[in-house]
Amino acid sequence: MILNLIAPLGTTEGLGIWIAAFLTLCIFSFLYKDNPFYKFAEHLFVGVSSGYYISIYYWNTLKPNMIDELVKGFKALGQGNTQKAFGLDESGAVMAEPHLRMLIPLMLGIFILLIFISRKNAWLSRISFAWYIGVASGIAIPTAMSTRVLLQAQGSIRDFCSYNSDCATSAGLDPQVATTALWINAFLLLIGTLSALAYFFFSLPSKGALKVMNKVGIYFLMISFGASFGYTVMARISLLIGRLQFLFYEWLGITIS
Amino acid sequence: MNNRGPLLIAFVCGMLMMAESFLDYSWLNSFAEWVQKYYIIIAAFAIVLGVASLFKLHLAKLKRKEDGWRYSLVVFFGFFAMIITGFFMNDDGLVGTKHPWNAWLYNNVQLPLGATMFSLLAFFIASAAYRAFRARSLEATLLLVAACLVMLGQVPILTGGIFDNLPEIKQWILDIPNMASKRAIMIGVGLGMMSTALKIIFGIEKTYLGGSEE
Repeated sequence: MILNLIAPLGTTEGLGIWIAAFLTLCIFSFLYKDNPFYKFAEHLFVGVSSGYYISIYYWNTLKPNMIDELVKGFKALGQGNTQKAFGLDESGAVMAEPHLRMLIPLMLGIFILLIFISRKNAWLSRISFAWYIGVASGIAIPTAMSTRVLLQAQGSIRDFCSYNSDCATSAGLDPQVATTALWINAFLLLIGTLSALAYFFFSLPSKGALKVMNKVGIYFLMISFGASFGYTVMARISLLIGRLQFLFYEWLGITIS
Repeated sequence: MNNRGPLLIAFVCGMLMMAESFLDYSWLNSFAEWVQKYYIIIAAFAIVLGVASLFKLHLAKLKRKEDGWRYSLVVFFGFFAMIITGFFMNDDGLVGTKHPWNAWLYNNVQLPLGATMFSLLAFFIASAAYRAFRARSLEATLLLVAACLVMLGQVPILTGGIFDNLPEIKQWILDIPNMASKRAIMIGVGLGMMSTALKIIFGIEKTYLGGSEE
């Protein structure tokens, strides 16, 4: 083990490493108990993150999609070209660039902020929320139907079809040569999905065949929860290893040879 | 305010966006295209609303000199440091998150803080595991065994000798029983999403409008 010099404080990079190491230790101090160092780091994280995301949204969303369009629109309006200002070509057809049509989302956005600006006019925010939630709901229905219901149901039974060349060809799937192990896996996948679904089916009392299905469903769900838990633990451990590597290698300069 | 106006807006927008997925009319497609552009902009304003709410909370703490009011100053310090470097500094055309000082703050303050905060969960998740992983029943045993196999399958040091097949076993658990349950949960979530969305569109669910129900 070789202990090199600790990261030099005199350079911008070195100063950054020292600050990052100090903040890392501040957060780890919570393992002892809640303390002022942890609170300092926690509040700094909240402030820095909110500032960062405001910046990201401004530069990546608001500026290119709204502000730049409005500037172009007002320029066209200043030149007396009203049609172009509102994103219409000479024939009156709608152009891809919306220009001043972006005043609509600006207005809806300002309505949202009225909650804090003017209590008297705060009711206008309901228009923006209704618009936003309505659009989100309209998008969610076909998307959820396709990706979360139909595709998942299809995935549960597709293997049975893929193993039969006639069925696979007519369904447009690649025919696959099935081994006993693949058949068992396909069967387990189908049974697992059906029984786990049955566990959440509350319209009938849990008796007879449904009770058996529920029981099998619980077993599948427990395996899934265990697997997810194990996976999450390992993801957190790898983050922890990353932070310890930073402290030992980058900050303290320890190298193992 | 009467809720009828906003409910009508939600109904019209929801129906048009839903119809756009099934019908092929050029006006409907361009409507959906604009709406999606507007949608991301309104979402950005909602972020501003969230930050405004954070400010309100911390300004009130400062005003009343509540316990820990000094930490509110730290929130403002962090926020304005990011805003000043992200909005008001220009280094040869490099602005925003590309500005070297903004990137420096991100790499040396936000990134280590976020990573350490999440890595801290490793300790708490371990203590939760200690309580959850007791083989008192068949269900609890399955949970324990699946978690252990997935964790061991992730560790390269154990792959050798008797543990040779661990990564394959881990992958099988993830691909078959885990996937089967996840599919069932996803189907349930999908059906729940659709029913909630329909309730919003038809004005049955209106809590998002806030205030008292009319």
